[in-house]
Amino acid sequence: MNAHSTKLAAAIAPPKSRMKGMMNGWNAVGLVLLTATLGISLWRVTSTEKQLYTDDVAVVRISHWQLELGYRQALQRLMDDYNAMQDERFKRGEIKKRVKVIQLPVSEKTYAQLINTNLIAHTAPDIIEMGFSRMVSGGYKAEYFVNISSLAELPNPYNAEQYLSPELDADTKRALPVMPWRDTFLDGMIGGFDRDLQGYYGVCTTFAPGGRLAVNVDMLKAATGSEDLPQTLGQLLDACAKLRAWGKANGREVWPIAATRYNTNNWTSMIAPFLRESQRAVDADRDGSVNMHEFLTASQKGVWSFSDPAMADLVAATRALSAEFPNGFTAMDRDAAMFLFTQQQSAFFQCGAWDAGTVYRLAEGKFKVKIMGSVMPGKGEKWGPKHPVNEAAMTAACSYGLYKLSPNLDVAIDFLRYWTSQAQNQRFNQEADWVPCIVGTRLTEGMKAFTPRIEGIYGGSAWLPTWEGEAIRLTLEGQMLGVQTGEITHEKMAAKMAEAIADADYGAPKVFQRSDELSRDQLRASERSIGTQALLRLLAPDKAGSENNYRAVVSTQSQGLNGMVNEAMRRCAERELPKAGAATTDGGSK
Amino acid sequence: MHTRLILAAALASVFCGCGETTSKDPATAIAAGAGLCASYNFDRAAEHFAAARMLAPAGSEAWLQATFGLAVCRQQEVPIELPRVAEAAALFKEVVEKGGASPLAAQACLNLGRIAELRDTSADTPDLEEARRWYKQVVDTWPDAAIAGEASLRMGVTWIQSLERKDVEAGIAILEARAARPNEPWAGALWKQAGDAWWVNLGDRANAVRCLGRCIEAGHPDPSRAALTVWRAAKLADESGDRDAALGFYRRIIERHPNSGMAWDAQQRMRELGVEPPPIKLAVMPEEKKA
Repeated sequence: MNAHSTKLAAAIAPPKSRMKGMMNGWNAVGLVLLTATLGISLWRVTSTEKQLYTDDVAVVRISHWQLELGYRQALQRLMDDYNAMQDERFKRGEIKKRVKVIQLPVSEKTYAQLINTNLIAHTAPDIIEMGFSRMVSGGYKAEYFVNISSLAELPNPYNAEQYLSPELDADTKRALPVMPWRDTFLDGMIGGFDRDLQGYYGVCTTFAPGGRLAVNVDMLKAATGSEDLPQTLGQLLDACAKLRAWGKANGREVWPIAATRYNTNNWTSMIAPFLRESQRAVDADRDGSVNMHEFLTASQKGVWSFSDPAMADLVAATRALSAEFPNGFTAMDRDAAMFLFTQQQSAFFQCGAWDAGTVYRLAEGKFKVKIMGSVMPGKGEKWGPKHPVNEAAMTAACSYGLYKLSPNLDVAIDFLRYWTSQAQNQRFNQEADWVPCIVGTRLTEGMKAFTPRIEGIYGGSAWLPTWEGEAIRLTLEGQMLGVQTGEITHEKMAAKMAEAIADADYGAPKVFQRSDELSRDQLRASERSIGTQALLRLLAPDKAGSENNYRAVVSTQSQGLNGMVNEAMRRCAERELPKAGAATTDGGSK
Repeated sequence: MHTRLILAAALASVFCGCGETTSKDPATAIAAGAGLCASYNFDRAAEHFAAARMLAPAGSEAWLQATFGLAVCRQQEVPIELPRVAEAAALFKEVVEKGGASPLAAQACLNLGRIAELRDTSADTPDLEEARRWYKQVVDTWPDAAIAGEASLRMGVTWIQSLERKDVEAGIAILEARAARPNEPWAGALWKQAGDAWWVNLGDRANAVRCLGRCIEAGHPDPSRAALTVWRAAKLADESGDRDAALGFYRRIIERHPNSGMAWDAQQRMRELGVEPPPIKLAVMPEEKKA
């Protein structure tokens, strides 16, 4: 080292006193904390790696976003039993490795990021609940997830006789062990079928019907003098009025129905019941529902409008119901509404099957809960009678896919079979207070209100523009929000909608144009699926979907008339729709 | 010397670029390509098919398979670009020319029809005449194969899509003629397309009911949507005053499609027609599965 560099080193080195100062006080604490944090992080990473990537144990990770009370606990018990069963097998020498199934529950808010990041990094969980992320659909699904179509044709080994619930009837006991896995699902495994990819990519574990009301029976009895649950909309509104009066008399602030921003679209479930007669007249192509082209053509021709008496009834009923919701419900989330219900400020809570477990658990020891179905105006009541939409066509939910690069795919498949076997699916759903989806399974008493409703009208009636008509739809949603909060009258809403439909920039003509473009794009996208299947049938028949599925997709695509189907539908509507005024046969309540 | 080095380097780069496709066996490369197509990896699959095409003797079965596979990849690779689709068409034509009566040649003909008919990009114009020629070639060359039914369906639709009455009638005639063949595997799809065209395009209830009825008898092409077709047939028969036919269709919805969501409406209408409907029993476990 020459003299010059020695001088330079001395110049840039901090003086000893400065070094000592830096290490004093908070700086030292910071350094210690930093080192400790780094150490703990490294230890956590290493121990997690040891847990997940050990050669001695086949670890299978399940990611999901079902954070409702009961679900994780029921799943954990299922996994514990499965792990114990596999331990026994290992001890008997039937399997080469120990098995450990673990769950990774993640909030809805971060679920998509978790899945996207890990799919790209090839570190995704072995079993993934399919949702939120765009990478669990379309081409990504084909790339990252296992097509289980061939497995779906084989019986589920956990439906063998020794595993079945003892209370099953003889017919079911005989049938289940030999039934293809697919047929053991009450919906025929449709919930896991991908029409475009022509294959089964998901295994559903439950039914998730919504549109129910959880009822605080104690509060209802205190206010109405009876435990009888309301059977009609009129009875519900009457109970709400009594609840308010009871609250006032007892110096309590009561919001009869705990609702959230998710309930701002409640009115959509009233469309089919309230507009049923109009639907019959506007359904030009006679497919049982009103599509966007029929709806907009009818509006343009003046056959139907938002001023119709039936629509006025729908608006009035929606307003009447939402008047029983808490102030500011349009900004409330589910937890806030649940809080109102469990704090007994509300006697009703709008819920789905996914909420039931949480409701029952939070109410335990505090008050009695019952679940009731959705209600419609009854005979002799204002706006009545109206029939609800039936749920016969419901498909199973909470679909789980298998990650293609899973190092323990065989165990992952085995666990999904275990989970969806008759006995285990029943047990899991009963413990979680959800609705089982396998042949021969039973609901708990408390969940019987979630049995799919088979009586009621067909709910295929959309009446709403799909996303090509987003501007009209957003206008409608905005107007209905105003109706619900009492800020907008039906007349104003109807006028605004007429204006929106006629608008040159985003009204019906623009919607038709965008819809035609979309139809052509979709047609080209389905050609990819058809072309691929045709190739697989010739070059790799074991990877191809069935002949029937192929014909279904080709037939569906052909009905698109090479992008001309919307124009054909509009011409049909022009031809078939009656003259102005003829469709308004619902009458309304005036 | 330089030229040879460059050529060697280029060849080496081709094979290095292929990654896993260095296989000397065309069958292995074709299987790998097909596997990648199953997961929509058309660009990587194309590398395998291209390698197999180079390795297999021209005109051999393996060469036809590789050429066909490569063509499908070029046609389906996203983003869709017209030069790539043109390359696909040229490859399909090679398969047609050298494939003789092979099923690959039949499918290549059909795919050429699809390329002509589809609007691949906004700059593309469908050539319906050209499409019909290819579809007709499939029907004429392989009249008894299942693919002829599919080609007939496609050919019928090339006419119906014009939406002009005369053309729609011509399309329906093609569909009905093929559908009426005994044991036609595409009969359900053909009758459905014809029935829908009779109603939606031409407003002819009686013919629509006739064709939709035949579709239901033959087996709906998409069982998950069969109830919608039966409903349409029921409504049209009902409106035509054909009470018996309407009742038959309504009954069928309740008994065969209880999970469709339309059974309750069908029950209501049967009552309005003065007939007590059967009960709705959700198909929790079809009888045949109990056996």
